[in-house]
Amino acid sequence: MSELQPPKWAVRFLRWYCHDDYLAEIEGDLFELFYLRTSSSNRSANLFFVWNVLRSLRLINLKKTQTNNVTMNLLKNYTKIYFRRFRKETIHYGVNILGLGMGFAILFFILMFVYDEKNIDSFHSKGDRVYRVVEKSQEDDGVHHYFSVANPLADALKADFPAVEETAQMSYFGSQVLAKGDIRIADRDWALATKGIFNILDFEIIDGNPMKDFQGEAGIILTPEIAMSLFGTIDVVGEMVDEARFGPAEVLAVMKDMPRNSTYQFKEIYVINKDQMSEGFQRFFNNWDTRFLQTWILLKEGASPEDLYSQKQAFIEKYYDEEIRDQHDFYLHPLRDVHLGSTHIENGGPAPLLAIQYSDRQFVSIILLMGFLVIFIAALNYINLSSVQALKRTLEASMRKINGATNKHLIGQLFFETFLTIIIAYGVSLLLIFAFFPYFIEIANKNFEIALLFSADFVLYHVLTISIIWTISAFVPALYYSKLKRSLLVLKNAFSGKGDTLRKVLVGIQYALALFLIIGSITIFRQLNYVQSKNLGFNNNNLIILDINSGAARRNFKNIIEGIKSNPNVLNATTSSRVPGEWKDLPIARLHTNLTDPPVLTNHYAVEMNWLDTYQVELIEGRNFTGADLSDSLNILINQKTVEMLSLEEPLGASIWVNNNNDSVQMRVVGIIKDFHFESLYEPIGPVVLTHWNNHIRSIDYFTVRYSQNPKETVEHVESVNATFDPGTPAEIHFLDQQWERFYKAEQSRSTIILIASIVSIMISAFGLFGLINFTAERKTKEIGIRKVMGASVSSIINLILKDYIVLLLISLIVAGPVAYWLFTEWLADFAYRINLSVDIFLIAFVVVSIISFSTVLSRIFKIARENPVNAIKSE
Amino acid sequence: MDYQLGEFEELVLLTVAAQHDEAYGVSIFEFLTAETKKKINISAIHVALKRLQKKGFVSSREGGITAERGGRRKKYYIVTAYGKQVLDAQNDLRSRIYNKIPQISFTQV
Repeated sequence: MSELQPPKWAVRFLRWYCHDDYLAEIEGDLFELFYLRTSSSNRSANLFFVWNVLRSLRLINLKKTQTNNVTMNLLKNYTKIYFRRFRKETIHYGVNILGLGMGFAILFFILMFVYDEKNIDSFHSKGDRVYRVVEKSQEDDGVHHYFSVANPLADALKADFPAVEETAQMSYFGSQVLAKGDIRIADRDWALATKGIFNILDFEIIDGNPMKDFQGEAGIILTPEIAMSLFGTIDVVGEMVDEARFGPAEVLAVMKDMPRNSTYQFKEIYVINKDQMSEGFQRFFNNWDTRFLQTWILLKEGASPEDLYSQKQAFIEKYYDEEIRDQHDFYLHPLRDVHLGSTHIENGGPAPLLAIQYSDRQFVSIILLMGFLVIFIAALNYINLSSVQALKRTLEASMRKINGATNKHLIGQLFFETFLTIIIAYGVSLLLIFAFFPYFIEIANKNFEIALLFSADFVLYHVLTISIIWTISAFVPALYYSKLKRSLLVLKNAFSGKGDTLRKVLVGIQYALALFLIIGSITIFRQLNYVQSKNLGFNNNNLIILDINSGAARRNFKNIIEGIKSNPNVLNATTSSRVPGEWKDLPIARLHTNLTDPPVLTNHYAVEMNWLDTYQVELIEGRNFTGADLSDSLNILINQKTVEMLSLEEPLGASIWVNNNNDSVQMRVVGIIKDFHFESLYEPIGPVVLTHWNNHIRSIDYFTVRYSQNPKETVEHVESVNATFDPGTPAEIHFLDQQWERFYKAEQSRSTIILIASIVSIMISAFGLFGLINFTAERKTKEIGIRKVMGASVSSIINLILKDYIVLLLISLIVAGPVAYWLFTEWLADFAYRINLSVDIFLIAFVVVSIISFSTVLSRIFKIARENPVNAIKSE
Repeated sequence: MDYQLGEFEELVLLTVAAQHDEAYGVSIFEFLTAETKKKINISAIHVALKRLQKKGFVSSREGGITAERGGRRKKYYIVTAYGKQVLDAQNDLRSRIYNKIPQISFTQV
């Protein structure tokens, strides 16, 4: 029997971890069980023994670690005391932790939002050397910036500047259809580019080589999704797409979908070889007067835009005609500014569709500031509540001092306690973040994962936030605590009333910030609501847009309109060159009353006679087009703004020169229409000229259908009509109101974030107030009792407690109000149509803050005020 | 009587009482495994015994050294008077409620 032994290492392990008091029993029992088992099999007995050793590894059986390290023992004691106080003063600690937790949660949400905004397009590996060339154009109405620059600029830049490593051009010509056999796909997420783009931006090529030579005008690069739909496989390099934007195209490569933080989400990229394109295209590409193409540029390592600017004058003199040199200039706009710094730049030419709309650095900064303010408010809260708590702990502080603790020890203790509170609050904030993350993603209109919060970059933010908030919040309470007088010991936890002024100032600051935030959110919200509910000048509900993508549809437009109208759901149908809220470019027409006068630049729409009725644009004077194609071709309608800008006294019947690309035609004004909005309401209403569909400037590009009901049925009907007259092109259909919504979506999500953050900031402040008033009430229990015995009424008691705080709130309003007024007037100044900052915004803010703050404490105060004074007087 | 007694603790306490003065870890383990026909781990019994002792339901004494225990002493557990009261109370409660069950017949369909 003696040769049979349980595994030695297991025994040693057991002896290592097990508490001496329990070892004899456990080890004995395990041995006994082991020997009982050996009768069946040694192996199973061994396993059983090991299993039992592992199962006995329980907290209760562990050796108690004994340490003689003074610091460790102190920390242990601090922890114990902390949790005891926690149990005793649950309200205080609960309020503190919840306040900080909510603050952290808001800050982390906002940090995630801002981080993502700042990292749009950050995946391009040469990103710090990549720029987009921007045209700066001096026009009659001021300076304009455009993304589209002179067509030959890209090649000239590369040839003339040694600092330039590569240039490339990018453009977009509206919709396209891809076909392979019977399969046809219409898709808008494409771009046309020159080869160089693959040296500048990062595209993840799975298969093939985008730089390869090809036959025909363009080769094509597909994503696997498109390759699968067209070919049924992704092994398509070298295959031909039968029909594409520039004729049949060879598949040069297959590329991965672009990363989710990319401004563009191309599904197809056409690589063009300018030398292989038609003569018309070549003329277009070599024309210095056409500004149509987006131009990207990659500088050599170590080069800066200044290297270019120093030689720019000579360059401009070399290529630009003398008479336009004063009007046209260009500069480099860095890739890292594309997402947040493009608000001042217009498209100019057609631009590839954005998967992520350009945002605004100012707004992102405001949101970031909000995050900091909210956590700052939470920290102030902590300082206040903990200072008060510290002052209550005279007995503990004195005992510690008498036993030899120095001031430093006491400060250390409070720092440690603050740390514990912050760590617990941090845990709470993580729970909150996990719980609310799906809503956040929805509100913020973002698509990142929660993993971002724990990414390498973010861990640093966590550590930084925690340590900063820790230092700020621990300092004041620790000072109070350590400076408590030892002599107060005899009074047994008497409250030393120090620091009343500081506390009031802090509460004041907190409330001023909260008021400021809520005034701001109300202003932002009202402004956005105002903008969105403003009358557009036409009715954009129940409108369906069908794109014209082929000559067949354009030729058959009258039949198509008739066909669409045959459905009972359709009220009206029309066609036009552009639609309000258009997502491509808006062509400009130059209007002169006299050819020698400077022109008025107006937005041009070519329309069919039903256009006014379909859009419900009001005709003020004169008449609509008659539908007589020949006579109408020289008639125009203009809006009120155009009348004003042309300073026409007798607009009806006036002869106007309508000029587009040096091609002037004299036309007659037959009608005046009411102003309508064709861009977002952030832009002021501009001048508009409507010509008949058969004009010399622009042909029709869209059908518009007004339906009464059943949008789904109507769409199906429109599709079938399209298929009848234009079988080659899949129908591309949009709802116009959804297009309009795009203008406001980003603002909506940003302002919702701001609103939520400010509501949380008020809640945190309210927690703080609750804690403070709770404390005041507790301290004044006896006073209240005596006053009641002397005949004080309930209301005078409530008044006694609340008076100070209401005064404080009023002072906060007086401080926050003017600052908010000044700042938000500045902010509103950027809007073409804006609300006024009226008194009621400030009143609403004040009332909301008061209600939230005092409703939480009122019941508590009421209870104290109503209580039998005898109990109060007896209380110690 | 105010006491806390978990289900498993109750089983262990019953066993300690049943094997009066002879109950120790392994004996309780074997007894309960045989009676309940369930897999029980010895460490669970040790924990239960510790809790019972802390609550004052059982006391313990050390036994002799035997070879098959690797030279370790046995630790015998004895039910205390309080522990016995608790068991009685528990038993009372159960039978009182059980006796209130009316005649229920489940006829086979």
